[in-house]
Order: sequence, then structure tokens, then C-alpha cells
Amino acid sequence: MLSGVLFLNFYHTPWQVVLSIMIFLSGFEIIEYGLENSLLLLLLIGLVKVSLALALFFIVRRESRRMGT
Amino acid sequence: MSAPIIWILIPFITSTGLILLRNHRKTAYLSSIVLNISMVLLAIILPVDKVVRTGGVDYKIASTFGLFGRELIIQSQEQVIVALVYAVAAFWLIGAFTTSRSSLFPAVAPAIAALIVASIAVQPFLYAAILLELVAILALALFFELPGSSNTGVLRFITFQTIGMVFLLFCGWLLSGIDTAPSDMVAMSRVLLILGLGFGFFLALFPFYSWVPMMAEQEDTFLAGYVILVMQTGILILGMQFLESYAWLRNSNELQRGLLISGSVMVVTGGIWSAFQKDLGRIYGYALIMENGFSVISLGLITSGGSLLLTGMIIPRILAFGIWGLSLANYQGHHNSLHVDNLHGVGKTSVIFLLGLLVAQFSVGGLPLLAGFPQRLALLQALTVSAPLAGWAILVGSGGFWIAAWMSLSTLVRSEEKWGRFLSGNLRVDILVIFGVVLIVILGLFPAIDTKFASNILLPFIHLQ
Repeated sequence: MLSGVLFLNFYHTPWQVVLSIMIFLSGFEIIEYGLENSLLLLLLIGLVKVSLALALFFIVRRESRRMGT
Repeated sequence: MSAPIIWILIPFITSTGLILLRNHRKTAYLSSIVLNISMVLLAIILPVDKVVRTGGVDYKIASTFGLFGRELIIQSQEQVIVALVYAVAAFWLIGAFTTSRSSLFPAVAPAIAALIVASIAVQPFLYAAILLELVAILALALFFELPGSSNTGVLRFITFQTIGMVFLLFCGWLLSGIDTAPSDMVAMSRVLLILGLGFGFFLALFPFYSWVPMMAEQEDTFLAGYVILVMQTGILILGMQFLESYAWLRNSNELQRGLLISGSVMVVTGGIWSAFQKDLGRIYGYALIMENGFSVISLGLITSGGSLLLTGMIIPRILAFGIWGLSLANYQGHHNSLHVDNLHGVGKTSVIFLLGLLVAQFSVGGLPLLAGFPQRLALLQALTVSAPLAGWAILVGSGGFWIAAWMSLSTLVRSEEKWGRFLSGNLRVDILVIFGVVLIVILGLFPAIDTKFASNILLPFIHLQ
């Protein structure tokens, strides 16, 4: 989780932001599994990650349109 | 049939169907508006958990729906909130139909409304944090559909919401540990710190609010206003659920002081910085921060009647930011920018938008006889007793915001041109703005209507009434 937050401080592109959030959430998932092992919570965090990956697609598409590439 | 199926699953599933209609703009918007209005009407008409006999057949709409051992519960007291959430979505959809270029909004708006309702209904209520994060992700799709100037505001938005969600989930785990032993001071201060950070990120408290004006400036202001308003209303209700569930949290002096300080700083900085902005979108963003600050102050006064103030602010805020955003969206559509240099005299072309913008701004600023005034007055009265310094902070912040409002007015009317028509010529938007302005004036003249509504929203919160 800490490494995710640290990466966020140095981001320059949308890719880096979403990847940092993914790393951050993966850290949380591991801690959560150790703490409580709630299946629904893990599923929902998984859903958040999949949705963020989809968002990454939108972000990169818009960014590349903006840059004209 | 159960209430969560009607007000969460059906609109959510329908909204995914509406994505397929994105190339048929008119059909998509009309279907979505009809869907949201039907949800409002159903929330008003349908009784939950009561046996009703129609045509010789008995039926009962259950309040509970199970999901992986957790429950979604919509009780009859919560139907007011459900109706409100869908009414707001319908209001924004009617406005966006004319002013916005977004083809995804008809699908995203009911989905966001369904997730907000789910976040209020879910038990244990900590899962609301994840549902609100999903709202933020849905909003991403909305913003990245349209070519904006830069992504920085939205990226900061999703980053802060995600970090906030994780802090709130951790806080829930810590709370379950000290639920039975509130005498453990170390654990309590740890919970307060994590809770403060969670809500700080999630609710855009000082100093985590930089994304609000950035998003209002860079994206479609009207849609950004919708996302910020509904999310923050959902998060405030989550905050109330925290306070309702834990008596020691409700009575914690540290928490109350923290909320008062944070809220006052937001009002002062939001108000004063709005006076120095050269972009009407950014002023809108700072006004949202200031308004949020008022809610946080009310949350800090929760043991001395602040809850009624908090819920009393919801309707005036939605009306004001709705018609303000609508007017800005019209200027943004015609001039492709909300920078003051590009807007000299544009208020003279369609006077109705100027009227909407001014009434909304001064209602947020707390001008007497407008909807925002009674709550500001009540808040000031409450603060003079418990925290006079916060009262002065509100006056300073509101003063800064009034300067911003006068600056907007002088920009929009400063030109040699003659005054144009009163109406814009677009019937839908004209009706919506007139409806909003009239309601703001009515609520300002008869504040008891708003108070009655506010106390209805408070019904599910027994300890906060």
C-alpha cells in the first residue's frame, strides 16, 4: 500500500496513476485477507480493480486523442 | 419483490441497457428521464413492509434483500432519501439533455443513483465506502468520454476517493474491535485519526479538496456538479450512519472540534479563494467546497441540533447548484470556456440564465429571502453559543464568496450591447431554470417546508434527531 502511495507522488501520466492505485489496492486486499477474510469485501475490491482497469482504457484513449497520437 | 430490487437492481440493470442506446441520444435521454421519474413516483407511492390488498390480491414489498450474507435494507423511513436521489438524477438529466454533449450520462446517472441508494441501504454500512468508490469510477467514464483540457483534476479525484475508501474500511475493522470497550483511549484516538483521514479524502475536506475546482474548470461543469453533489451527499449520510451507530463517536469532543475546525477552514478558504478566480467554473468548484464546509460544521454540531441543519441544507444546495450549473453549461456550450475574458456581456443575450446564476449564487451566499438563508442564520445562531470563532469564520468566507458573485455579475453584464430576450428559446431549460428559481424563492420565504422535509430525511437516524 505504501509503495502505491509513494508511486502516486511521482506520476506523470494517467497510466502511472491508475497502476499506483492498483498496487495500493492489492496491498489492501492482502491485509484484508489476513484480517477478516470477508469474501464479499474481497470480491468488491476486485470489482473496483477491474473497473479501474476499464477506466484506464478510457483515460488512455482520451489522452492519446488529446495528444493526437 | 423487495424494495432493494425495485430501487437498486432494476435501475442499475436498466442503466447498463441504456449504454446500448448511446448512439440514439434522444431515446436514451428520454428513457432515462422516464426511468428516474418512475423511481421517484414509486418511492412516494409504494408502501414498504406493509400488506396491501389490490384487486383481491395481497402483496407486500419486503424491505430486505440478502447478498453474500450481507443485506440491502430500504425501510419506509428511507423512501424520502430514495425519492430525492432519483429526483436529482431526473433534474440533471433534463438539463443535460439540452446542454451536455455526453452520450453516456443517460446510462451513468441512474446507475450512480442506484449505487448511492445501495450505499445508504447496505448493512453493515461500511460497505458503503466501496459502493461510493464505484460511483467515482462510473464518473470517470463520464468525464473521459468528452475531450477535456486536462486530466489532472479527475485523476486526483479518483486517487483521493480510492485512498479514502481504504481508510474507511480499515476504520470499520478497528471499530468492530473496540465496539465493546470504548474506554480504551489509545484505540479510540487511532480510530478517530483513521476515520478523519478517510472522510478527509472522501469528502474533500481541507486540505484534500484541490481536485474540486480543477474538475469544475476542466470538465463539463454541469456534470461535474452532479457527481460532486451526489457523492458528497452520499458520504455525509455515511458519516451520519457512523455517528448514529457509535455513541462514543457521537459524543467525542475531539471529533466535534476537528469537524468544526475543518469545516470553518473550508468555508473561509473556499469563500476567499473564490473571490480571486478568473474562471466561473472554478468559482462553482470553490462554492461547492464552501457549501461542503457548512455541512461539515453542522456535522460537528450534531449533539446540539446540527443534524437538522445538515439535512436542511440538502434541498437548497441541490436547487442552487443545479440551476447555477445549468446556466454555466449554457455559457460553456456557446463560448467553449468559462474564463471571464471570454464572457463579457454574455448575460445580456439570454437574461434567464443570468437570473438563474445570480439567484443560485446569492442563495449559496446566504442572501435573505432565498433558500440558503434560513440555514445560514440557524447555523450562525448555533455557533454563537458553542463556537463563536467558527461563526466569524463563516461570515468571512461568505463575504469572500459575495465578492465572487458580484464579480460574476459585473463580467456577465459589462458590455455596450442592449439587453436581449428574457427566455433562451429552449423550452426545457427555460422551464427548469424558472422552476428552480421559483422554488429557491419559495423555500426562502417559507423555510418550514424545507424543515419538514429535513426532519423526514432524519427519520432513519433515531439518535441524531
